[in-house]
Amino acid sequence: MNAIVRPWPAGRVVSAEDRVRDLDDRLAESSALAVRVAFSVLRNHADAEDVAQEAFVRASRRLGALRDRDRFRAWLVRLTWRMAIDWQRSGRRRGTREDAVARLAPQHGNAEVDVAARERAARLWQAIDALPERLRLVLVLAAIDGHTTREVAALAGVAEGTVKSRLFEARRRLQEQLR
Amino acid sequence: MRDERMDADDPLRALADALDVEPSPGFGAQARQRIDADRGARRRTRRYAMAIIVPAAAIALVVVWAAHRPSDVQPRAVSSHAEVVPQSAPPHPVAPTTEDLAAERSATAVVARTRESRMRDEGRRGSPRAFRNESQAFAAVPVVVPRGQLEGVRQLASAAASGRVRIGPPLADWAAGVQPEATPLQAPDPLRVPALSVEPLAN
Repeated sequence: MNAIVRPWPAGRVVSAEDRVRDLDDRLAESSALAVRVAFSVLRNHADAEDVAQEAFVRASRRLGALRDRDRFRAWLVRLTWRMAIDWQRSGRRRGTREDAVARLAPQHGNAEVDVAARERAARLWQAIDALPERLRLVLVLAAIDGHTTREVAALAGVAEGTVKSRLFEARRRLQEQLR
Repeated sequence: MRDERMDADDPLRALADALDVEPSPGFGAQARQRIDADRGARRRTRRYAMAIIVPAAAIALVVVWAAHRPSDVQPRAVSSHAEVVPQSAPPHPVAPTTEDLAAERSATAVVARTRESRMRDEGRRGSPRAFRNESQAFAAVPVVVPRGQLEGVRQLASAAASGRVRIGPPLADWAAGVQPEATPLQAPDPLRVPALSVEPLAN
């Protein structure tokens, strides 16, 4: 996985085909990450894909400057996060945020159980929304793909120790709110 | 698997399950389409910008040039000896001919070259530009017009005498002693001209 995108050797003339292939590699490699980050904010699949694609459009403009794979992913994550928050604030949401609640509370056929599960799911998202942005981003990145604290630190652009303390704080606040 | 007991004890696991979404199958193709469209749009924008900026810059250049063209520039002394012809002097009704202007250019160039070469002969150091900037140094160096360049000076004096160009007092004084119509011009070799200033008449 890590070997998919490597920096171009210095002085190499990069053809248009190379650029297209490189962009395709990055799309294949980072699409899920971008969609998940956007989904964590927007809770709607269609909106999340829209934002993730727009983030790729912007990223493609800076492809030359972001040759390093890890730097590209970190930059993409932060850009997608920012854009998703802007998207949410601008009121451009097309769908409701029910997607996310439904994902956490699947239907079982028993109406009483289903309602209780949806309430719990809604409470969890509420609690996550109530977190400050710095805690929320770290929490989301740690939840996606089982990222380690080192990976989260690289993606969020903060020190590993900071990630640990923020994760601890985020968990503590969530537990308090959901108690 | 999604945890049915999603509660305060395990919010991160519940969140991980909730965020386990996959992009739809057409996501990559759509993203590529949008990227291509964005590139096309940016290319068009650049082209339009160039189509506007280049002509605008050319027009601005012409306007600036027109505002500072040589005929509008105040007469500049070639050396500190020279005196500028006052602006209040009434312009002569006859415009300078092409030959007059050529003669004026020729004489000016001769003066500049000979000053520099003279200064080099005297062991002064520096580039010709530096010499030109040393007005004080110029003042101390007599101007020598070689015999081969006398024709240009003679034409200049002739033009000055007929009022088609104006020249500053030092050269004017010298030119006053020259009979422009006399042929051939009798002058010592080398001819020493103390200083020269030339003011082309406005068209």
